[in-house]
Amino acid sequence: VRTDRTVAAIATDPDALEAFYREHVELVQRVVARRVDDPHVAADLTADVFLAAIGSAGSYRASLGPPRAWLIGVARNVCAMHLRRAARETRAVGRVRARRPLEADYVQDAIERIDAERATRELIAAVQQLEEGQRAVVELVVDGLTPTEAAAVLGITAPAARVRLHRARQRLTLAEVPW
Amino acid sequence: VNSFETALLEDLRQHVAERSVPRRRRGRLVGAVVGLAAAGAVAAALVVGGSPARPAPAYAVSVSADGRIHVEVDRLSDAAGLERALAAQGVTADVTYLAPGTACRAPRDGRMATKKARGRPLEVVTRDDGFDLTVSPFLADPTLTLVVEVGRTAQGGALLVTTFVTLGPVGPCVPQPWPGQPG
Repeated sequence: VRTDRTVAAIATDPDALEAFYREHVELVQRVVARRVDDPHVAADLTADVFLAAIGSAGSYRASLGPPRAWLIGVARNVCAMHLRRAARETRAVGRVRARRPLEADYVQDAIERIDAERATRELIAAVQQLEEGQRAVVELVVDGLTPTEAAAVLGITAPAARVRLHRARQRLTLAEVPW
Repeated sequence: VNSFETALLEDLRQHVAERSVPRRRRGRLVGAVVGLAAAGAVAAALVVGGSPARPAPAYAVSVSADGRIHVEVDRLSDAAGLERALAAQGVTADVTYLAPGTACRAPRDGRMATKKARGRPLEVVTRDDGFDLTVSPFLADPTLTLVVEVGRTAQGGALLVTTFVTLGPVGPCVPQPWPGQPG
């Protein structure tokens, strides 16, 4: 039985965290790979997403959907924040990031994942032209949530989510809209 | 599972294990995880991450070896979350964060637990933006309610923490202008 505590426990119990991590690490890396195409950045963001999930585990409500939906919402926020920051930082000259070296096996996995998500990444880039409300619903649906789950993550009603999806579909060209 | 995923899991396990110790000691411990992600990104993610734009918890609750429950509140938000965190330790709490310049009308409905709650069950230390509360394990008693009211005399004024214990539930807080404040 899923309860609020299932997720809340990841903030305090390393074993609960490990089970949660093993179940979701591939999902998180896919969500990240739909947004960035650099294996190093993807590694940073994957760590950030789990840290953010641990930090806000108390905010999970089982009544609003499965942990997967909540975690995708967390991942989307972390990635969006990174992309906003990155947009600002491209203007800074000579910025150097200190990075932990990544092993070849990870880089290989990451590149395959990033390649596999190319089309989705282009779609998500295309929806950035939409206003935030529509964009949020579209991104969550692209990440695999149902419109109802996306609505719960965003704190809106399911009909409102469907309306936003519909409007987004009208704004985008047909070729960009696979859902 | 590749080498990165294994290393990240180890770092996250350590991070979680260290979160459970009182927060005063956490500053240096969190640093262990920072090595994984670009510095700065971690702190920012902890603040802004969460289900839609929900910030990191405004409080931390921990239990020391002698059974005393330590509450550290860094921001006056999510009173309900703090109540749940205390409930997880067996303490029924009624926490109210008031708008600046207001206080709960006193006395609130409820029976004061003068006798059972005697003997310094609480210690409160206030800071500029939050407060620390140490709760005796004695208050982990389903018949008692720990009532916490937190407000300021005025916008930007000093933080005021009022605590008392009732037998059974306490009546609702009715905010009113802080005594002595105009309006």
